[in-house]
Amino acid sequence: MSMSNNNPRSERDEIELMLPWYVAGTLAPHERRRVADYLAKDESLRTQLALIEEDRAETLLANEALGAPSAGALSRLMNRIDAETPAKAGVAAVAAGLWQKAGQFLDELSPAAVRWAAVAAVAVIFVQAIALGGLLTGGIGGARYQTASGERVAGAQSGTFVLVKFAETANAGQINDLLARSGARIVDGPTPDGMYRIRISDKKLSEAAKQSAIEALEKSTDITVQVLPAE
Amino acid sequence: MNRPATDEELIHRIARRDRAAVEALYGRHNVRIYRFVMRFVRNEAVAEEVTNEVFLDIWRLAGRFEGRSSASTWMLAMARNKAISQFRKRTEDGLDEHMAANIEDMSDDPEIVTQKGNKGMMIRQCMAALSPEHREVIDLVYYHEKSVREVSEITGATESTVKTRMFYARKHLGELLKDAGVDRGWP
Repeated sequence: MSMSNNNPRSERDEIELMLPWYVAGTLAPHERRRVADYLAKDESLRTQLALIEEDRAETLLANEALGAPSAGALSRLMNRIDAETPAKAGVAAVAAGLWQKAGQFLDELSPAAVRWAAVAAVAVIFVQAIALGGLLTGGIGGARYQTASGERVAGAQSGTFVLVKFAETANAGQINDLLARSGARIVDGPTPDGMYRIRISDKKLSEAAKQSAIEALEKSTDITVQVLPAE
Repeated sequence: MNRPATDEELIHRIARRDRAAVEALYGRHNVRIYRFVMRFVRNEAVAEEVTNEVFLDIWRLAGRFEGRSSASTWMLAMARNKAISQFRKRTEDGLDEHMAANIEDMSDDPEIVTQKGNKGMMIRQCMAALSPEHREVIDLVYYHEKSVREVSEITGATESTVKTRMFYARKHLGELLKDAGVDRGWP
């Protein structure tokens, strides 16, 4: 190839420059066709292909000889990532995201919509005030005060259950996806040690089926950190 | 069975603080990045440290990845910047004089290799004698299988420069081989 700043490259020079990428298979289809067509009529360029193949093979060998990171490199990396990540970052990120979405929702409302929302809110407060007054005086059909923990989610007493602790870095979307994939539903929790009671089936599963479901949940190691059988 | 996530999907998961995605991306690319960095720093411990720095930056900056270039091109460009600054630092500290001496000892003298009749080893020896720029473009094209545009993105050189740099790298390699008694008929 003879190149100078004054003369445009000849077709042959252009093709010769592209030969390494032709051999490596990294040319665009139209460039590849162009090179292949030219090579068909130029034997001297074809002889360079064998040399390039030789150089390429030796380059691969030379790189293989450079080795690889040691076995402990990944754990050191993850330790540094953990050191940079606040423990509650996952929960905080979800909370921040929800707050941001709420803000965006309010921003997008028209003034008329805001007025109607205010009227609706006043109406809800008014109805709640009447209901509370009735409870305090023992009225409204003899309703009785109950604690929130006095009764679990409707239908939560039957079926097959497990206890799950979610990873601190798992976000709400990941947890929802996992529950949807597993056909599971959170029915209680969290406990003081961060466990959630999850119904994995409406029916009472065999021990083998239950164990299989537990193992499936355990495989999502980026979302769950502990899965235990529960009655 | 689900298809494996693409590199780009893993980076988007990392942007959402998914640690498992970091491990998956590391598993795919740590060796290639380490070897690319090794060419600059010539020290295993430093190359490992720089490789980890690259993945730490991916954890920090994943949200900025726009997908205009492939993930591996993005990572190699990051690795190159870090490796060069590390190389400069070591040169300023005088550490690389010792390193250069070690490189010379890594294999036989070209003439001895020729006498042994090992052409492959001879080619590798002559490649090691190329300038860093020529050595780098050969690695990027042959080992990392990067296109002209991708080499341009990683090195910051124009596409035209990338092509001519590769041509002169091949030409110089042929001349070194000829000087060592291996005439391949080109250039």
